Amino acid sequence: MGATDVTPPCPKSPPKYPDLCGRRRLQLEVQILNREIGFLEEELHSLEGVQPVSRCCKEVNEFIGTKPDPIIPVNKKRHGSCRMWRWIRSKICCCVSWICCLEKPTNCSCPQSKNCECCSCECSCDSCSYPNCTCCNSNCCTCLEVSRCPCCRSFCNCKPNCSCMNCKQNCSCINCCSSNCNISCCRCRPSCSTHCGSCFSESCCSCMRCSCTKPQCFSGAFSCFWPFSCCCKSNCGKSLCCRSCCVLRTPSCPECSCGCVWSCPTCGDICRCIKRNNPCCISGCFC
Amino acid sequence: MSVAELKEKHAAATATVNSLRERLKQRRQLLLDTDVATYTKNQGRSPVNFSATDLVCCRTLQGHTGKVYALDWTPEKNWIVSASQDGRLIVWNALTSQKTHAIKLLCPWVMTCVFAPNGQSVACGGLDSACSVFNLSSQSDRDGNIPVSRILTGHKGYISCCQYVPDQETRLITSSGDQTCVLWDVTTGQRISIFGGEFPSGHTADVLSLSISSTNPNMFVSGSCDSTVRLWDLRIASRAVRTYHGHDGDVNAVRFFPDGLRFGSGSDDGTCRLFDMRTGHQLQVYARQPDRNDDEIPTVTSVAFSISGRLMFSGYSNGDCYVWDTLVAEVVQNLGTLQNSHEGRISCLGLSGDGSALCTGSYDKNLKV
Repeated sequence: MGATDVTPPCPKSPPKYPDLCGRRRLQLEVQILNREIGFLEEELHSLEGVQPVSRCCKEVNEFIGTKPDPIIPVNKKRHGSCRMWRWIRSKICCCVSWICCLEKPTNCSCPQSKNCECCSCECSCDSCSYPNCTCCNSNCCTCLEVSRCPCCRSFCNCKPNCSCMNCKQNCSCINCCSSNCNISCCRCRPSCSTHCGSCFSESCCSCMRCSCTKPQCFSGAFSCFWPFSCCCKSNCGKSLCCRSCCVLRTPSCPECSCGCVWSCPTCGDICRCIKRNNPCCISGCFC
Repeated sequence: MSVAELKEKHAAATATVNSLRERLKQRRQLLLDTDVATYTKNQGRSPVNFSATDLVCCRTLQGHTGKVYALDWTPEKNWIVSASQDGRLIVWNALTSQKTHAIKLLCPWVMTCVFAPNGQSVACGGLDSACSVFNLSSQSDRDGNIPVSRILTGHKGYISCCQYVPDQETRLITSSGDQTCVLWDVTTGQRISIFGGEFPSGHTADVLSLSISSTNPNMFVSGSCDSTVRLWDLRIASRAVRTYHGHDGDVNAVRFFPDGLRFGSGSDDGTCRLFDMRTGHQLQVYARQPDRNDDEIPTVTSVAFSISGRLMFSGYSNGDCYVWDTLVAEVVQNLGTLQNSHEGRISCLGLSGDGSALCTGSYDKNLKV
């Protein structure tokens, strides 16, 4: 008896199920869009009879000033008696010195003039003698002697434009003092190296000047799939630069597939999953 | 319905949405007859006059060993809580610069912190996707750490911001990278309401900040990476009350104006904007002059208003801290150019309860008052 030819078992292909998950996703999206249409129509309708922007501006203008604000400087007004004496002086052709000198404004810190003429008695900052106002502290250009030298405030040019002459090479000056000020006035940003790692050094520039490459993510994670090539830009992990931008990439879903498996396995100590931008993964469909 | 028919419906609905958005934009444009600066200048307003010594740094709070990410003042006492990359919360007495508490966190990746209305508790959150609450009166453990009194879990993404509902110690709102905001009952740890998510008209990207109206604590706004700000009613979680368009980038910061009817926002597009809550109008854009030293436009990281609303403080990624005259939309002072200013990005700022002091936090690890 000869051996019977036995056809090896041939498992059947799995049945072709209808693409339900893709249909469901589309239905859901259509529902969301229809809901959005409803909201937009409501909003359009609500704009009928809405007051124009000018009315809102009027309300803002009227509101501000109803509350005292301790952080806003108060305008220093001249004393009433000073105003009166100035008026009198303006009417009298000749200065009678003893009249002028009777009333000195109390907030006048100008030194008493030896010759008490009317004009100097008024002691306005424009006319009083003031000490030389230098740009004080060796490290900075702000006037520290203001309390004893009110005039100085209007004469000291604090922090003039930077000449950058004293800044380090390869620095760009943000806000330097003039060339005769100490170098520490300069707020210089050294140029960054091309690697993101240099952005974390305290001595380095801010990340936005870095032309960063994608970060080296810890093993097991993918590099950032975000559209921007540099994790140093804002969308990668808001408050944290580069280092925490490692994102576990979610698989891309073909349009009519059964969806994708959403997985974000526990991240390591360094990186966490920060953003999800793939709609397939948000729906969390399973094949 | 077949997939092909569904696709047709989808395309038609998308076209309708786009058309309605365009109509809305045009309708709003017709109502945009002026802005705050033009209106107030026509009323004769001139900018607030600031000299170099009117706003000075009187305290530098040093102690963090990492970047400062967030800060908050107590409503009444002059205490500040700050959160840092070093994984700690520090509570400071702003008058004396002393540290009253240093709390080591279970998860060092903290992004936000806030005081409870009574000043007795602080809450924080970050990349652990949970909001932790600490009672400052609790006894420290043998390591000197204050134990956590409640952990609010449920978010599926990082916590970007948290705020207590005014005058309510037990109600807290969080915003998250999972595109939602949540109202919590702190006592039970349960979620009361979820604002946003996939189906309701919520944000379509990470939510980065939130602010609650002082005059109507049922209303809060949230800013998101989807470039919009949305207004929510605590009593109606099913949908946003209104969506505010205008920014061209992530909205990093939102803060209500003192009247509780307007709010300011700051964005990656480098601008701050003032919106009217009820009408949805954009009232003013606060855009800085381009600086030739900047390769990119500095982004706005934080905003706050003075107690009268006349001044708006905005922190930027390049270390600038602008003081805007809200009415005339001009910069009256740049705190970033003063002596002893921060040496890094301004990450957070806030006004004290009485409005007399401003605190700024920075990547230079310091806070300044």
